[in-house]
Amino acid sequence: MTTQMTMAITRILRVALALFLMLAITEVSALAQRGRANVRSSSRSSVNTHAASNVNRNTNVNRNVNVNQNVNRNIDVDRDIDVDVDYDGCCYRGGWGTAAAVATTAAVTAAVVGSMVYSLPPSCTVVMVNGLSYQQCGNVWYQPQLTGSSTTYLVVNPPQ
Amino acid sequence: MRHLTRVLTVGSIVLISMTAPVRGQHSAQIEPEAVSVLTEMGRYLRSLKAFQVEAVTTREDVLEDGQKVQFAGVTRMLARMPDRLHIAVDSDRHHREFFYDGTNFTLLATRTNLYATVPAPPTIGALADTLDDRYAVDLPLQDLFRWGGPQSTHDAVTSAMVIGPSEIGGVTCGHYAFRQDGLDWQVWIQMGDYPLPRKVVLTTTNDEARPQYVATFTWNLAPSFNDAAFTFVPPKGAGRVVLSDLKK
Repeated sequence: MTTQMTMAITRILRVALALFLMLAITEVSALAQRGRANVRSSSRSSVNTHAASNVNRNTNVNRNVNVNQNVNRNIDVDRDIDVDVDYDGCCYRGGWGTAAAVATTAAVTAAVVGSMVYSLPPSCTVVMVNGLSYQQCGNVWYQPQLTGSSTTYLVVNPPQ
Repeated sequence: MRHLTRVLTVGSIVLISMTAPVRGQHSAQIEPEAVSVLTEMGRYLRSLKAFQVEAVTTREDVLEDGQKVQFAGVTRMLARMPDRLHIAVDSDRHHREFFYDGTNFTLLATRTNLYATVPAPPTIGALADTLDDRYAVDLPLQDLFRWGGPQSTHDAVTSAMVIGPSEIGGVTCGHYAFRQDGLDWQVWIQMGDYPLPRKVVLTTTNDEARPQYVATFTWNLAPSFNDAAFTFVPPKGAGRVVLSDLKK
C-alpha cells in the first residue's frame, strides 16, 4: 500500500472514530436523561397506618431541590457500587441495566447548603467529625441521611 | 282514573326506592364472619410472646406518567414482645437491618456500611409510631404489631367480605377482602388453632395506577435466640450518620 493510501485510510478511520464517540456520548446522556424517572406514589405496605403519618410518603419528591443538577453527572459504574448502592428513593439513575460509564462535560453546579441530593459527585472522601461520618467532595460537605429505603445526602456547612 | 294514576305513581316510587339500595349495598357490606376472623387473628397475634417470621414481598412504585415498576424482597423479623426487635430486609434495591433493644433504635444500611442510632420509646408499637412521625422510616411488617391492639384501624373498614377457602404454603386459609379509604386489602388467615396471617395483598386505591404490595408469611412461633440478637454492634469500618429527620 502506498503512503497516501495509508494516510487516507487513517484519516477516514479517525473521522469514523470521532463520529462514533459523538454518537456514543449523546446516546448515553439520552439514556441517563430517560433513566431519571420520578416516582409519583408507591404501594402502601401497611393496613393499620398511624394516623399522623404521611401515608403515601413522598418526602423525597418534595426535597429534591437540586436533584436535577446531578442529571449529567454520570458516575461510573464501579463508583456506583462503592458509594451509593441505595438506588431506591424517588429517582432511578442510569436506566435499568445500562452502564452509564461515560462522563459528559456538563458543568457541575455548586451545591447549595440545605439541599438534598441522591448521588455524590466524583472524588469524595469520608471524613469523621465528632463521631459522625461526612463526605467531603472538593469544598462541598455532604451529610449522609438514612431513610428506610434510600440514602440521601444533605449539603451542610463544614462541620466543626 | 286520577286515583289509578296516583296509585301507580306512589307504587313506582316505593318500588324504585326499594330496589335502589340493593345495588349500592354490596360495596358497603360488612360480613360479620370476616370481621370476627380478623379480630381473632389480631387477638392471637397480640397473645404471642415471641415470634420469628419471614415475609417474601413485592411492592410497586408508580412513575409520573402512571407506569408501574415492581420490586421484590425478603424481610426476616425476630420479635420479643414488648421491646425487642431485629429485622433484616433484603430487597432488590437495598439491604437494611433494624435493631431495637428497648432503649435505642439503629438502622444499618448494609452495603453502604452506614448506620444511624436514635433513642427509642419503650415498646415496639410506639417505636413504629415514632419512625412514622418523625423519621422517614417505615417499620417493615408493622401490621403484625398493630392488629388486635389499640393501634389497629379496624373501624376504618367500610367493606368486609368472605372470599372462601384458599391454600397458601400448603396450609388451608380463609381468604377475606376488605376496603377502606385509599386502600383495598386482602388477608389469608390460617384456619385452625393458629389464626396467623399467611398472605396479604394491599392495593392502594388513591392512585389510579393502583400499586400493589404483596407479602407471603412463613412463621416460627418457637424461635430460639438471646438478647445479643437485638444488640447492634457496628460492623468494621461502618460510618455513623443520621436518620433523615422530618422535624428538622
